[in-house]
Amino acid sequence: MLGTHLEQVRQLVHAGVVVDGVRPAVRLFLSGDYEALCMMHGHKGPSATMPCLNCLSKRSPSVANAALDSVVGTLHDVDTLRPSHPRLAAHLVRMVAAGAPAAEPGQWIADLSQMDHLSIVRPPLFTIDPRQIVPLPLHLLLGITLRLLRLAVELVISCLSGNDGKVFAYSLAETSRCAVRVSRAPYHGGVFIGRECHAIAAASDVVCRTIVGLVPERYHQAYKRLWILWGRLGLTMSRAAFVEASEVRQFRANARAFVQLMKRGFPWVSVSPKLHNVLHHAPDFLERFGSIGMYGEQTVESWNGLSNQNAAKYTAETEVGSCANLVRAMAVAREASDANLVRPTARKPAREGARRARKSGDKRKRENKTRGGEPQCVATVERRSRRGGNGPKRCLRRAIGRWGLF
Amino acid sequence: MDGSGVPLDICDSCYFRSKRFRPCGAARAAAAGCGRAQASLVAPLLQPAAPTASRDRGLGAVSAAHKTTTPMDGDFQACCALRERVSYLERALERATSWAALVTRSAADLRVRLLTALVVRACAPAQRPTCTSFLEALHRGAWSSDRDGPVLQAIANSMLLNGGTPPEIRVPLVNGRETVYVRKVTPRKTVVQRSQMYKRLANGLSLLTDAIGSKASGAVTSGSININIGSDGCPVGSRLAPFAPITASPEQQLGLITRYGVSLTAFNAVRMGLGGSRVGLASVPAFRACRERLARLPAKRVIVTSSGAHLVVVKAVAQEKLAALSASHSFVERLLLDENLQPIAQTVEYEPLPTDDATPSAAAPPASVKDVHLTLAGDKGGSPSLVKIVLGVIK
Repeated sequence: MLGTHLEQVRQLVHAGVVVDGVRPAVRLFLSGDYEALCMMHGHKGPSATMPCLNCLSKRSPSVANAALDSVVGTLHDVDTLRPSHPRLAAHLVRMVAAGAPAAEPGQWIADLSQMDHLSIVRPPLFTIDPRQIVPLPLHLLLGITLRLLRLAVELVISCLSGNDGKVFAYSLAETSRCAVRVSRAPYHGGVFIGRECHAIAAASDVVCRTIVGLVPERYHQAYKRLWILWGRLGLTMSRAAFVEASEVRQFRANARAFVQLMKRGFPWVSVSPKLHNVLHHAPDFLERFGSIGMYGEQTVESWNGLSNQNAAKYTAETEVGSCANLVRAMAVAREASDANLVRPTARKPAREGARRARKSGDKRKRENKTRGGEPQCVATVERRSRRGGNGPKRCLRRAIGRWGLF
Repeated sequence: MDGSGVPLDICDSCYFRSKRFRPCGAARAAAAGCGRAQASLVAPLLQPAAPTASRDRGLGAVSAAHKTTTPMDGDFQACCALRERVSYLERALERATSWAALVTRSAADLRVRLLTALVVRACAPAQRPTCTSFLEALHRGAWSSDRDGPVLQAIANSMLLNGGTPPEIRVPLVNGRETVYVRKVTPRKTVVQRSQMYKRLANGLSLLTDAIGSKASGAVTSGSININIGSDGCPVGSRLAPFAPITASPEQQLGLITRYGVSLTAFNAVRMGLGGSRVGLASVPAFRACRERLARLPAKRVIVTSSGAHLVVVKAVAQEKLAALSASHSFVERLLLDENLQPIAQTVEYEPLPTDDATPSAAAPPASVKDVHLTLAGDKGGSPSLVKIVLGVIK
């Protein structure tokens, strides 16, 4: 699919664009989900020996590659300030020129050493500086929020038993649904959407209270600290604005503290490529370009929602015809300039003296809305409980697997 | 005759066939005689037609098989054919007689019409009937309701709408019934709703100008016609007053309503509620013309291939978006930061390389080179997994 536009994008990068009579260069940033980025770079994938697209750190230390571990390091090295061997665009150029190991029929990846192919098995489509790969703020938010919730289940399993962990997983899901008022979406693999991840981080006290009495206090405090750090990191990463220098420095410190606490406080936790990204490459990107959220993959993900919402408006005989109608309509929608899209008047604040819900029993408060005998849709309740029922099962299964492996 | 009433000189099949034919009149008498001499005299004159013979070919074959056993079969066959031929000719005679009568009547009718036309043409110029004579004829029921009904109704409508007519008009019909046309006066309200406001607007336009449709809207927009819609007591008109004219072009308006998923029909209703073209909102025909014009631009063209629907010229799309940002003063230069988090000034102009190869330095120029940030996002998953590639501009 990218082949349709590949040559045009290359020409665009080469020739630049004209803005106000000046021809600036085009600085291209690659974004998207991890699989799409791996495909663009010809990378083997997140389960490769060198899973990171920005550096050569190995996935985990091994006896067979102990020498290599000492040279390039692993994802589990959470004490280093920066990865010792970042990826270079020159290697991508070399892979394009010489052909990747699996590019030709007679070539095999086994013919090359790990330091030769660096887990790149196909010719890269773009040979840009790896520092311009966006560190996936949305997928980091979704994945690490879910990882923190699963960590609570793992804590209960480690301190009590598997049956207690099962009971706790369901109670945690119920707490999320009733107290935090979030439910798993049927898409995104059954995880929470980005806004709900922020809601969970904002209401992390409720989540942390669920493990009080079940785990030792030091675990509870460490877990609470993790949520606080992650809430700050998530806000900085997702905000589509340029951040101040002080916040950039604080982001790096928080990221370092978060990953180190996760690794040291909970020794069974494995540093995944996402955690590695949070620790090293997200702060680097933020320091270099001043923002992560503006370059994030939320743009491409939001188009999925847009096509879902407008599916009934752009119907056609075939699915591709419907897509073509949507693309045509959005091409027309580009005519609305940013000046037209800016709302001229902001929403006015409430007038002085307006009555607000302050008493605990006020029915205008969210927690009192469904307890006062108000009708509630049975189908909605059942659907929420059904969605919530699949989440704890999956979370429990992975937690038991992780704990058993440890 | 045998005991069951069947004649002895005829076989069973021929007997039952003769009973099925049920001959009548002379044919029955001829069949009763069934003589060889009679058949030989009549047969040359009344031979059955060839189709009949061919149709009865199978029957003849059966009869031939019976000839060997019964000598009377040939005569009976001739009698049957004779009876059939006679009945056929009788029916033909009846049809010819009726057709002749019809043609005679048509000729007489045509002659009357021709004579009438000649008489009318030869007469002096037709005198216009006076209103009195027309009314008398109307009361007499001189016009039939089927033919002249619509014309009479149009006349009655014209008289009622022009005013100064009698309060009611009675038109008797030939069937004894009577149609009564009565003028009803609808009182005009002092405070009107929106629909009646539109009626007043249309009435005012029709009184002040001959323009219709978009011409009338254009006349109102240009100010050549000034119609005061909102009265003092009209709540709708009082709400219309604060609206300021919209400066966005029709293309920009079309882009806005497309972005927010508003249909043209819904927008037209909103437009009419806000005051239509008076506040600068384009009409639906103008939007359709804009849409056709935009569809011909290179940046708007879409192709459908086996891999999906794509924009044809991505470079033109990026260029168009950047031009729009620049025109709306929304384009912001984003400077890279150094190790101390201080912005690096962009002082160097970009010089495209002579070769067409996209080198890494082209997509990642030094921090001091003036640049534009573009993102190329891919999505391998998604629900639904429809959107795969998005090119974005960081402004």
